Amino acid sequence: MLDRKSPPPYKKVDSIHLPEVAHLRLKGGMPVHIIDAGKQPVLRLEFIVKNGAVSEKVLGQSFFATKMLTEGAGPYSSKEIANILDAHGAYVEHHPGLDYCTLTLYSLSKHLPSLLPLFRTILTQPTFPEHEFNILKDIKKQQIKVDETKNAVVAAKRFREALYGEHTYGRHLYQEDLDRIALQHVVQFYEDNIRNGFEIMLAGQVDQQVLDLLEEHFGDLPFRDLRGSTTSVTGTGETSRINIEKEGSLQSSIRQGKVLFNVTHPDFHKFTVLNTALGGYFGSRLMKEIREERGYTYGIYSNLIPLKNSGYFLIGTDVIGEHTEDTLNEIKRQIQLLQSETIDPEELETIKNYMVGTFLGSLNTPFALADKYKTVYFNGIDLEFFTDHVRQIYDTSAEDVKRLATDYLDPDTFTTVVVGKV
Amino acid sequence: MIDYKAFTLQNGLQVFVHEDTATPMAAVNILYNVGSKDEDEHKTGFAHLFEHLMFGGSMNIGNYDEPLQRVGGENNAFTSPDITNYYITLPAENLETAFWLESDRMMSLSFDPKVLEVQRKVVIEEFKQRYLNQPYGDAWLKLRPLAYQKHPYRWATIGREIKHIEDATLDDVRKFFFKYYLPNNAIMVVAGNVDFEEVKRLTEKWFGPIPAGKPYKRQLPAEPKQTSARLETVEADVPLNALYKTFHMPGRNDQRYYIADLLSDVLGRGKSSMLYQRLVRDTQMFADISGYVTGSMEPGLLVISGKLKPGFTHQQAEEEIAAIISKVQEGVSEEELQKVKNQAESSLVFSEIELLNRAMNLAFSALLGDPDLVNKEAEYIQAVTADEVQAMAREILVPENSTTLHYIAKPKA
Repeated sequence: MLDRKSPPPYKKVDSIHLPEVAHLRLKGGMPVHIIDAGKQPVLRLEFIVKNGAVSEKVLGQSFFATKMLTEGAGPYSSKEIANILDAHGAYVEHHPGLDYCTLTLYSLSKHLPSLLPLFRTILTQPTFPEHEFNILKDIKKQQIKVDETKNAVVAAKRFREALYGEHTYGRHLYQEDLDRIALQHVVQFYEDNIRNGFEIMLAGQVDQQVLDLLEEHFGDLPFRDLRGSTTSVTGTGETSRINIEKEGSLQSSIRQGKVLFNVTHPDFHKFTVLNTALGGYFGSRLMKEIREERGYTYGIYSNLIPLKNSGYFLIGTDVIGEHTEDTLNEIKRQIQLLQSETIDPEELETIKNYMVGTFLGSLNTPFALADKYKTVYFNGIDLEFFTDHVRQIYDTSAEDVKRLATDYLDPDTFTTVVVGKV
Repeated sequence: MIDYKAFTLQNGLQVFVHEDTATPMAAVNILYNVGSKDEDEHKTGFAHLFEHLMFGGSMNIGNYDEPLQRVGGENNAFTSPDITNYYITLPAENLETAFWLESDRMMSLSFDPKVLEVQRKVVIEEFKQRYLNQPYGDAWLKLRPLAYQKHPYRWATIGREIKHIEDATLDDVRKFFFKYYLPNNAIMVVAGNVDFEEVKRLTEKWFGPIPAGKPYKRQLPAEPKQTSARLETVEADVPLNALYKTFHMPGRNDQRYYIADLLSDVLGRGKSSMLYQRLVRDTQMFADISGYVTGSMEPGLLVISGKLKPGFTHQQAEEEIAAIISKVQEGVSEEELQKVKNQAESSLVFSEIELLNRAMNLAFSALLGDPDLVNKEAEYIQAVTADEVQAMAREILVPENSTTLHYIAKPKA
């Protein structure tokens, strides 16, 4: 008779196969990082500059400088660029970030020879047409308008503003900022902070032909190693409760947390274990209490969000308006439990296995591998970081969890934003 | 190209195995052939609510998630108008845990009243979070009953109204389970670093003893041919005016589906598309606009949707869209067609990068009646001709086949 009550035996994941990354420099100096993996004939090329909104003098410069790259370059108009990309089934993403700006190309390998000449032009000869700039600005204005009606978006913005205040990490684009920024600011940002600063992160099926193509189209370009700021950003240190009433809301969006640290901090790895226990997975204490016991929400999560020179801890949820205070009290209680009572060994074991198993699963595609590599490369650490990550997860003791909860998650140091039915 | 081998258990469970030894992981995808289209019209939203209950403990296993997390796995599920799909990814060496968990909940649930009470609340919050408390979140709640009058696609998967979810009973839950959650109404795909013979052994061991049930014979009312244009205007608390327009089109089981799909791409996929270039770039009438298809099994919808910039009226937008439709009805150039085929080819290849996607695509193709469809789609797309796209445009992009929803942004008080 089949025993359906007892789980089958299982094995702990004991080895993690890390990405192998090759590096080369093109003749002119442009660095290329290569993750050759996967069975599909595809490539992702990320053109990354180590400069982002933190280098802005006028709010919005990096956003528009990145967006405008594909709005006109050399002889190509915005429409022609869109046409060439679409005609090859290629897909481009713009990521104007706080610390880095990235232009990403997804393409079938076979189309690369047709697309790289265009990309050389995009990266080196953007024309910044005024007409397209005004269209983008107007579209952005409308998007901001729509976002301002979403409680979750408003809460996330106000939360980061409260944490970092006037620092770029706390700034967002608003409609009035768009009236202040002019095309010359955008061009200036490109010249000062982007031109010749690109590195290439290449992931997918990479062969010699691909590398030859890169040399052919980018080999003669000079490279400026832009390092950006490395000064640690500590935030405002203020603890506040911000309520924003939105009439007619059916739910409240809650964002709560504080400035902590990023991946370079010695407590980073073990803190992720604590975070998983509190709100980092479906079986977390917050999910169990707020969703699975009380049914106040569709979901609640916590996370440590790393930035280049800082990092912040965030708890987020959308709950029934009337239960906002209950939820906040319950979050506090759950943190206090982690501080005062040692975590059950069974629970800790599940968390560790879950974390390592899903980490293994997260190395599943060439693009995910490249993302992992970026984490270490841009933080100036080496790939050992990930073996260490797994080892430290397994090494985390119940005492560690308690200590970290006590050291870092004092609810009195939190900033809280509630948007909706306050 | 997705390779697979297949077998069927005596109880009717269809199994497909896709081996990929490059990954240390395994994916287990179980598709139940039941969606919101199978619901009673007075109990809508039930298939999705039921999906939540599938995580509330089964006959022999009190907690579904914990034992899976314990072995390094994770899972989720989704419900659509056509299917309810459950999936697990886990380290391949712990594959048997997935079989243990999935077979037990296919055999029977715990039917714990507390689980129903809590998940009912959770789903109501999901309803609010995703559909009611978002600008334009209720668009499909309004569009579906307008575009469909007889076919059960006329309600959204989340349900027609919160009341239906509030009214669900444990008796409904039991009946639903024993009607649809049968081995002979399911398709399982096991993919990744797995061995076919081992999968077969595990399937027989864990799923073999589950008895087959009475086969579910789907008999849904067909949607009568639409004969006149439909329009609804709603004033809502949204920041910008918006426009949604749908046209009935062939379902996934019809070869002509691919023609309509490419037609929607010509109209509104990406920045080089006709709608985007004309309405966002040239006239600057829209903040965004796109064209796409719902991709449903039975006759679905080709959709055009976008948000208008302040200062432009729905009337102006309608005229512009009509002009673009006339243009595609006059013909699509070979170049334009090749462009959208390349886009479609690219999407297909990229969709095969993730192991789990490969598993899901295979399961869905099997449900459509031909598992190898997953590998044939690329050919079907390439075979479409410009004449066919033009004919499709003339056939479906006509006012009498259209349903339109105009959102009017309520002026700020």
